Amino acid sequence: MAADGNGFAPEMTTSSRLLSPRAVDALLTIGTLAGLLVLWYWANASRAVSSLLLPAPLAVAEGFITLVTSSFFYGHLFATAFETIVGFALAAVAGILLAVALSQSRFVERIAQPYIVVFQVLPKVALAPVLVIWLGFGFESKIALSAAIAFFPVLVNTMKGIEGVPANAVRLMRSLAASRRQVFTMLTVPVALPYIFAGLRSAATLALIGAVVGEYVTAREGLGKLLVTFSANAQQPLVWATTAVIGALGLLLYGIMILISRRVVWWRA
Amino acid sequence: MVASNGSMATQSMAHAVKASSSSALGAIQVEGVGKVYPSRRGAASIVAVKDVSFSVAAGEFVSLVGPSGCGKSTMLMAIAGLTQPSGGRVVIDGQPVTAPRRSVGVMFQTPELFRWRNVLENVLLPVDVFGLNRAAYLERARELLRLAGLGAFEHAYPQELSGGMEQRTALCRVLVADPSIVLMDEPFGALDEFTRERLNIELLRIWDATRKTVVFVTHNIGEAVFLSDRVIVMGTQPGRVLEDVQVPLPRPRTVESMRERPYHETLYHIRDLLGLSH
Repeated sequence: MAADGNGFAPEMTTSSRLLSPRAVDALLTIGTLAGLLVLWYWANASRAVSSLLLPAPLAVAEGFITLVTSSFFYGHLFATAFETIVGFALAAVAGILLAVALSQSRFVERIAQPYIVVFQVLPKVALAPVLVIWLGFGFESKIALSAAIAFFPVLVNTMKGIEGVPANAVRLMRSLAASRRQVFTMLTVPVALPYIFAGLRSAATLALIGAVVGEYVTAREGLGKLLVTFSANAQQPLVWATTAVIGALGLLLYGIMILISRRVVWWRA
Repeated sequence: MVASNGSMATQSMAHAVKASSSSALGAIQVEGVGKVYPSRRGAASIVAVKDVSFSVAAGEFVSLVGPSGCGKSTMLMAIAGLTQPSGGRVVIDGQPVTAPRRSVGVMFQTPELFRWRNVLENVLLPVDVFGLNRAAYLERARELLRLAGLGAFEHAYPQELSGGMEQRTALCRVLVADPSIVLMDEPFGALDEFTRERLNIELLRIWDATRKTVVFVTHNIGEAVFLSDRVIVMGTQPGRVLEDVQVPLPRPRTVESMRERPYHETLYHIRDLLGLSH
């Protein structure tokens, strides 16, 4: 029987004798990173690549320190983080609610389907100038763009999750005389949750893209605005340092989503 | 496994499980039931079942046997209230069936265990759906799991179980809220022959302890004869009852019952009815 537990002792391979596979992976990642840094350093030191195209690692590090010790940086960081989080939250709520609403009626879903496909394919970034005209230069237009970009993965994944409820499981619930509400809470929600979290993971990074691109177009503050300013002033080390900060922010959001998702939909792990 | 020390376990179970069961309930009358699936895009409508009548007494074990398309599963779903017959009616304990009811439990070919519930929580699903108090059913659920040989697995998750263990869990689930009727739609059809036979023996043991009305759908004639008091043999085009066959095998039945003459005589009689060559 499957769970009796009298399995075979796993065969030891030469590589796993000294280190665990996880430790090997970590060493490989750190090794590759170190190699790339050395390569980067060498490229600049030997003048193989102009420092205008790619500033030296130490220059970027200095730029980074200048940035994080400056008085203006945290206001910009906060603005982008705020727009991203609000945009993400709006997209999550709207995407899940609309998917649930559409799943209540086959008819409505059939009407909505072509519009969903069209809006999904449309590059939402193209909306940025329009949103500025509608909502102004402030953070509202950035939140709107962020939400617009992050919305569709949530909607589409939630719909897929709800459709993924097996017909036989529904029949089992019906045989127990379960109400529609019970089928939804006891079956549909747990089945759809892993899909919803897959959507939310993509949405978290897309929300950041939306906020930064929104700031490119026109903004008073934000990391995107900072990037445009540094770039216009040819302050290459600062451009790279800001890019790194945006990357770190994206990584942080993604990591948080993975952590929450592992907690909530643990059975999918 | 539990099968080896069967009689003792069965007796202790008879007290634990039967005590709560309401006796004399669970009589089924199927009266002239027909099922027509409406035509689609101009094709002729399909008569799945035509004018089927039979009755099942409370506490009786009856099988529906026949080839694919004879409407045996349709009949089961009509008794369950999961499908509405086009004609005729199903009556349970004097009341016509119009929708699923709590006193009728259904076991399907696939176990449909929920991955986010452990074995015990899966068994308690009907208790949750019926809005009953979990604590009041905890002992019964554990007793059923012990009887099904899953006593040590109550905290395991479905993805850790074998196919046979999953169906045992589903069997405990259908019994936990003490239905008077259990409908089984080829419950062991997806399992290998050895597991199927072992589960049939365990099913009889559990049935002996609980004495529910059971309607069991299968296309395995041997299985139907071994388990049932009566076998209702069905034919196709349209689905109809060919014969209502009594099984003259004494109870309790064991593996040895399958060596006895009445077992083979009934088996071959049913094969003849279905036009199967020996």
